[in-house]
Amino acid sequence: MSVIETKKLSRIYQDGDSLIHAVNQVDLQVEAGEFTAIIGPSGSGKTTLLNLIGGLDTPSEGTVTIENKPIHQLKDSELINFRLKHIGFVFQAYNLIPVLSAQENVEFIMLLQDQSKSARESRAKELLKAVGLEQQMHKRPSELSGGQQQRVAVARALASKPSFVLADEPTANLDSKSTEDLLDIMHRLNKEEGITFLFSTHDQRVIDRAERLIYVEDGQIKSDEKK
Amino acid sequence: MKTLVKIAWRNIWRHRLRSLVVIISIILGIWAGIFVSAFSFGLNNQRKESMIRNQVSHLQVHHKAWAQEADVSYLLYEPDAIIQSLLELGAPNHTLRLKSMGMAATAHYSGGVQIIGINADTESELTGLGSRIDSGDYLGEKGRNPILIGAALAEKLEVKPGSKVILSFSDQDLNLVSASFKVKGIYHDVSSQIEKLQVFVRAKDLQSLLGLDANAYHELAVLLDDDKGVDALKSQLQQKHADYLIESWKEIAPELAFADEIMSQALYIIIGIIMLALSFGIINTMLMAVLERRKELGVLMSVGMTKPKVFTMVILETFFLALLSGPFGILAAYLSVSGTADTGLSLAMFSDGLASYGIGTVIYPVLPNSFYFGTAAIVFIMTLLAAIYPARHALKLNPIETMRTL
Repeated sequence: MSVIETKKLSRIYQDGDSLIHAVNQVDLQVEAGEFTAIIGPSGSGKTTLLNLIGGLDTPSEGTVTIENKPIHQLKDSELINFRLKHIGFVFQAYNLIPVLSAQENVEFIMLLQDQSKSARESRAKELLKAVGLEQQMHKRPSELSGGQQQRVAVARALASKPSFVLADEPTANLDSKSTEDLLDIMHRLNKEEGITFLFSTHDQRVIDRAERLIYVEDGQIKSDEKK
Repeated sequence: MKTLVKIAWRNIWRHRLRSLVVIISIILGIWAGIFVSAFSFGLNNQRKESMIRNQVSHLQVHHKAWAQEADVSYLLYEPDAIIQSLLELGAPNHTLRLKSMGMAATAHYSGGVQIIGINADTESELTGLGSRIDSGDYLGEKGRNPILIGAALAEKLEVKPGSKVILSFSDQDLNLVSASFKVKGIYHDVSSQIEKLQVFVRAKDLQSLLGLDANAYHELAVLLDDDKGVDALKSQLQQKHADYLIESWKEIAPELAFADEIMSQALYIIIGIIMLALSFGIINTMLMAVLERRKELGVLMSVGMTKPKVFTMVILETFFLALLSGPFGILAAYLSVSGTADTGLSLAMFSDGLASYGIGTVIYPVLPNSFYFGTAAIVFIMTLLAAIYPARHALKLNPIETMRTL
């Protein structure tokens, strides 16, 4: 079953008198449980494609369907609610809430979903344990290393039990050890819990671990291969 | 909501110095606003009390036509009947006066004065004139034509106790009367204008010179313990003596009543202006806080935080700034007002200017308690209004633009 499906998806920007096709007529299907990387040179449209799939940007043309729900038709408020329930995000710069502890950052998503305190605490601890941060759960982001912060971000992305996780250059700011650790964690979550991951990346180490590689250039999919 | 409160509270302390600067500026603004208000209240109250105690009294009774023209012939024809009514109504503090406009002259100066014929004992009891003699003595039974002159006028006339002053005025038949008076004492008043204008002589001397009977008076002044029962007493007295002109201090000196009425409004306006200025500081601070957290707010919206929650979070942060500063500002002002309410603030260096307005040189700040609550309400309303613009700005953020990358 396709978790993500785009048809003739385009995002066109006006730049002076010219039009830029950041994403151009992309047809894409991602099945549940995939561990997929979107790769390509800078400016090829990887991030714009992820933004469109994540409902953060509005398509100029085409459709985006997530679990049979055409999200391009949703209003802003409906999109926020949809993202909250169905999509986990991992950002390049971690983007944790600096005034909250690791546990509170993970709980925050569940709080927005109005989950009970006990459910939030239990799930946050479970996820932080899964990413190897059970000893750091009361520390604030500023007290954690980059790799640890990104692991908290992964735990936060999984907190709402999303249909899939979108990760934009998740290892761009990490050293080799942290990158390997993070990839191990995400790969394990993918295998053991069946969580679907869709990355955009330049990082060869991510590319090596991905099970499907989608090569994007000039806003179009140039190749799509499963290992 | 609890987590929103927690985030908002912690966000305030992310830039401790900046938040403290805003908090301290609000505290100082509130303190200054309230203290200036208390000072103004005290100043106005003192001026009012001083004018009522020394000059106007709470009630004055005159001939019906006195308001149109202060003619010598417009006398209180049955003063004893009114005094009897006052005693029955529980207002025993009164004095009778005779008034005439005239000229005071010495070899050095001559000028217009209001000559007031008084019964020395009751006048002193009512207005404390006897205790305000700087040099010489108060009026007594002994001596021929004694007169009390204000310090400012004495300086102009260049007289001292024992000096002679010629008073000229019209009697009841409009004949010009001139008489020599001997300065018995020099009095002071909180108002230098009064000192220049009013001279006091014995009522019986003035009655004689004006050609009036021994019980002829123009004015009956009544003083109460405070001004709460003035309107009721006036109404009761008017019912019994409809043929007299009975006026309260508010009618005799409307400028005092007006100042009293507009004082609260004026002071709320002062507080409002101070808070308006401070609110721009708050807007600036909160806007900075929003702008430097654009990416963070973008992330929050990306992961599913609704716009009302983002709005609430920014409003809460501003609310906490007000909550941290408002009570301290009000407490500081309360302590300052309480601390100076008994000792007063000496403005001796401005004594000449203040005396022209009938104000003493020591001001006792005072403020009704309701004003503190009113100020607290203004602080919170203005602060929350100041939060709206930064909060609306936060709502307009586009997650994509704020994060640049997903």
